[in-house]
Amino acid sequence: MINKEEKFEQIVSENKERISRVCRYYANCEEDSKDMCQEVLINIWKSLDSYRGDAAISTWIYRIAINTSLSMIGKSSKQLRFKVDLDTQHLGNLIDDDETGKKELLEKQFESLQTEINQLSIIDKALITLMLENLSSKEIANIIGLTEPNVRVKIHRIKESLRDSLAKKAME
Amino acid sequence: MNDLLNKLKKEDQFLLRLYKGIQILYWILIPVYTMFFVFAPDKELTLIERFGGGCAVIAFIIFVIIFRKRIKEQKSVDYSLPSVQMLEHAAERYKIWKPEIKWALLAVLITDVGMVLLSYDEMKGLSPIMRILQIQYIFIPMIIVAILVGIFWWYKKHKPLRDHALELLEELKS
Repeated sequence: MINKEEKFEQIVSENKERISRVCRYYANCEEDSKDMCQEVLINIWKSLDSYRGDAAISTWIYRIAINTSLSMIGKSSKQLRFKVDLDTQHLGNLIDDDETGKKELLEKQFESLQTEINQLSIIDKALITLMLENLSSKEIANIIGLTEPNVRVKIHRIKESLRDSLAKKAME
Repeated sequence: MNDLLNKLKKEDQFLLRLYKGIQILYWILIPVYTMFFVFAPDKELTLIERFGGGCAVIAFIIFVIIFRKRIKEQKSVDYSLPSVQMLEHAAERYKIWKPEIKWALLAVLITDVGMVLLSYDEMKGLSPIMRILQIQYIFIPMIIVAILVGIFWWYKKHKPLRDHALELLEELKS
């Protein structure tokens, strides 16, 4: 019979990359990222007793990471910044797949994109985080607790807003 | 990782100890109070005073039950719920008016009755209404101060969290 400590260590070691990736999005520096990871690990520990295996472990981890980021904003007055690494594989998820030209443009204007993302609300940042993790609308809906169509509409709005802001900047 | 695990285990043990401590206190103090204030063989303890003691015991039981409920509620904060559900729970948890407050107010009222009954025979020179008022002069300001401190505490600590949860929920549902 596996005890709580072993279960915790197993879950954390299997999802280490996933957790640190999500934490990196919300952190300005290595230290902030570590703080956030620490908070996520604490909440994983606290929620471990209630894990029944009904949801996939990845969904469970994402829920805790996203809910931790929402709570951290509530507890402190500081606005969490959103930092995406230049080599992020899924950056293209922020725009439609068929718009290859815009994809290239976005990669070139990476700094602008990051600035724009940092202007978004915490909810939109959470949705972007899950998009960057290459999750489907259904999985995002399951994590956030909204309906799938609602998630699709929200993501569409975010993309539109980012596209408009970047286009305006490009014209300036 | 080991440092973190030790911290987490310590926190769990602290909560468990606190919870067990309250349980033990509950099982010791209730019979002790009942014995000394209600069923004491002391012949000088009048029937009115025994009723007063009974009121104090009932109020004590209500307070302990409310406290146990709060600890359980605090322990059951679950970050693995879907965000909407977690935020709804947070908004509910940080509300100023909760169902248990009416029980707490009832316990306060019972304490007041208990205090009046316990000191009733000691104020023999006064009329019944004045005996009741004498206690109220002390009790009501004390309760008002306690309520004001509670509201201030909620305003500083819990209201910002509730406002933030409601704000996020509104945005999520819009």
